[in-house]
Amino acid sequence: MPTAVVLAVMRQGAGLPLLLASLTGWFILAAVDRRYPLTELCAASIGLARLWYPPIGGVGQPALVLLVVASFAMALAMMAPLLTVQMTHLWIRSLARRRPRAIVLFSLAYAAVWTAAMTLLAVASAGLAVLGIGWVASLAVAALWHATPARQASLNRCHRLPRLGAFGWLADRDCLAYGFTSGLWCVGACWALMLVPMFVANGHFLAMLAVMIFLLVERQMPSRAVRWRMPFAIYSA
Amino acid sequence: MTVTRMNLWRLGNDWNPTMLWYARAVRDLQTRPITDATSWTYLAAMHGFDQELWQGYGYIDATTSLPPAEARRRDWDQCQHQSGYFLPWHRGYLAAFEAIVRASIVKQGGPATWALPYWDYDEASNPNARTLPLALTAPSLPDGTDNPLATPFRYGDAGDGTVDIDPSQIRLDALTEKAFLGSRSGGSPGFGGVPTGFSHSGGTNGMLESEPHNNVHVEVGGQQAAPPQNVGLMSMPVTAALDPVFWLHHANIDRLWEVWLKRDPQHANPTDAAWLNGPSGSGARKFVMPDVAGNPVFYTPRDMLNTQAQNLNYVYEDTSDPLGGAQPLAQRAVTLGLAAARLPAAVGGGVTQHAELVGANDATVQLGAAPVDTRVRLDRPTTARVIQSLRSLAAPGAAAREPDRVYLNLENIRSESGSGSYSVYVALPEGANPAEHPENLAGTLSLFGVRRATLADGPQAGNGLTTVFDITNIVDRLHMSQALDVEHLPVRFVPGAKTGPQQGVTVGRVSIYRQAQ
Ligand SMILES: [Cu+2]
Repeated sequence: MPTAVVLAVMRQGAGLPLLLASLTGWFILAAVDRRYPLTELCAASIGLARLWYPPIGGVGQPALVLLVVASFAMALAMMAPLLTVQMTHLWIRSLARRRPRAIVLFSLAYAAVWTAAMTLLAVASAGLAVLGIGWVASLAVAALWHATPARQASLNRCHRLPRLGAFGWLADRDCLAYGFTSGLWCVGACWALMLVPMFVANGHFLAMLAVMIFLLVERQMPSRAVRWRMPFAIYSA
Repeated sequence: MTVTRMNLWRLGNDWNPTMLWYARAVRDLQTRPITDATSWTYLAAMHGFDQELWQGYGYIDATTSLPPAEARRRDWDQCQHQSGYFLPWHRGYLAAFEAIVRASIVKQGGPATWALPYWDYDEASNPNARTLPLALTAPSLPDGTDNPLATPFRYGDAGDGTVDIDPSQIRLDALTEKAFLGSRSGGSPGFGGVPTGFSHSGGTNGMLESEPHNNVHVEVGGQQAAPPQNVGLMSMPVTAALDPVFWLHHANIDRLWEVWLKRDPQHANPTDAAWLNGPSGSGARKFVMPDVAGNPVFYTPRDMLNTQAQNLNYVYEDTSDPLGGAQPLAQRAVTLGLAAARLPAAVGGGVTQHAELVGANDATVQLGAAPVDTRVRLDRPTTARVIQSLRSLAAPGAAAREPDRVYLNLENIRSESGSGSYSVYVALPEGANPAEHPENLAGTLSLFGVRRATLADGPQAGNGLTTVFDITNIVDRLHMSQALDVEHLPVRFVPGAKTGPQQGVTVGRVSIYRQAQ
């Protein structure tokens, strides 16, 4: 079933480019992983102090830089497929010659929010790991968050289609603001689940893929009333 | 046996047998409890339900026990709007209702050939067509009992209880749409609407859905002029089907689908599986109606194509073309100063290119009790392409192709109140009285369905509705009078008649799109 949903998403206008963006993200992650195992970076067996100094793995790169790159790549890999509605909105509501610009501005703002959020999450996961929290505990946290009205409200706001100015700096401002607010609501909807794979040492990539597919299937469902809910029950009314 | 749905007014302005039996059946259905799937209230709730509003109108009270949650989730709040499923879903809805009403009539000793009449408010030869006949308004039946077809919650556009539809709001230009399905690209949303999943509220109106359908809802329901300024049942999807006139209005909309198919051999129903199979995918709701015994029967648009098939079994008294075969292309040729002989052959149905934004206004528009003006700034290079396309037809040896069509988009219309309408004029001359310039009327913005689409946590995340008007004819005339190559096109919203003040009605953006043909 999820396969059918994923395929249907990819058939939408913006589906293919977004899939390619996602693949690029996965590719960067794989490259980072070769350099320095993601499981260690994300799963945060490194202590917080080591994020700054000394360089990890003796390769001469500060861990923080690597962490930011990995965070960006992770956001790209897992979030790009969720953006079909936003990309279509930007495309349809912009002057033809401004479409690439609109998409770039939106993406910059959106990626900035997510990169910052993922970096924070990775650092947080380091701290939590030190406290002895594993993937079971993180999944429990995610389940709790997914039951809250606040989480549903965030998810609903991922479907907003704001007014976009057509001309000049107003258009640029609207695209940036759209990317920024979309990023914020998206972080609100997804942060808890994005945290879980960071605690999965074996099958880290598989866990990330599973999270992405869940979020993608869920995003295709209409908004719902804001109230306490069974976590992860995406088909309930 | 195939039954014939008759024209309401041609049945007579009296208690003719068809309407008398309708009244008796409605009364019978109204006596059934809301837990009965064949009751008046259960059937209306399948269109839409709102506990608070229904209590306000007295259809239920705090003690009424509702059907089980599972049945409600499957059956209620089901009507398809702002969707290419609008017509097929409502066809199934009408057929189920008609069968249940007929069963009640037969049970009471009436004719087994009874069929739902249709209200053809556009019938040119009938001066009363835009009003309602006696059977829907008289306080009592011939035997002196209360008339269940009359309701106090039908206020009309003046808010005083009389229905008299403004003829400028029920134009039938939708019948000239080439394709059944359109797109959300800013161009034509099609005769029947845009492709969607299960679409209970929100999104983009199809052309027929917008006018006459939405406009008639608001013109009939209206809002009470006197306090407490109730909103009429027909004005909101969550109450519309509680008014017996709803079914006669929708029979006419369903009939116009047949008229559209018949009036041009190029017109055809969609053939793609996504439309034919209805909403699909895991978790998607299916279309379902009770049979006469109240058992659920699932259906898809594929089952709704042939009205004479076993499951539907009806025809309309009259499906002749109210536009007398008029073709939009011929009208354009006249406007653009062309000999009809030089017209390109009509482009086949369904062939529509992606649309492109030509311009937009610069801020959200706040509508109120007084007319509001905004202006659409036009992008010069894109406008130049429109002008070039309009010129191309007149150029010697030009390709046989229809020039661009042009559309006005009212994006993300939001409102907290449930009624009201605005006439939208494009390029009115400075200081002109809009009423004297029907040729500048782009269309009527009706707030039918807007209230629910505005709820931030509704299925459409509070995006409101988007309505698209075809303003090709207005643009053609502007072009011919050298008035298209301008910085801005003015757009004016004129509030309708005497309805009460509206709360928080906004149009997110007013924009203009071109669509190559
Ligand atoms: Cu309707």
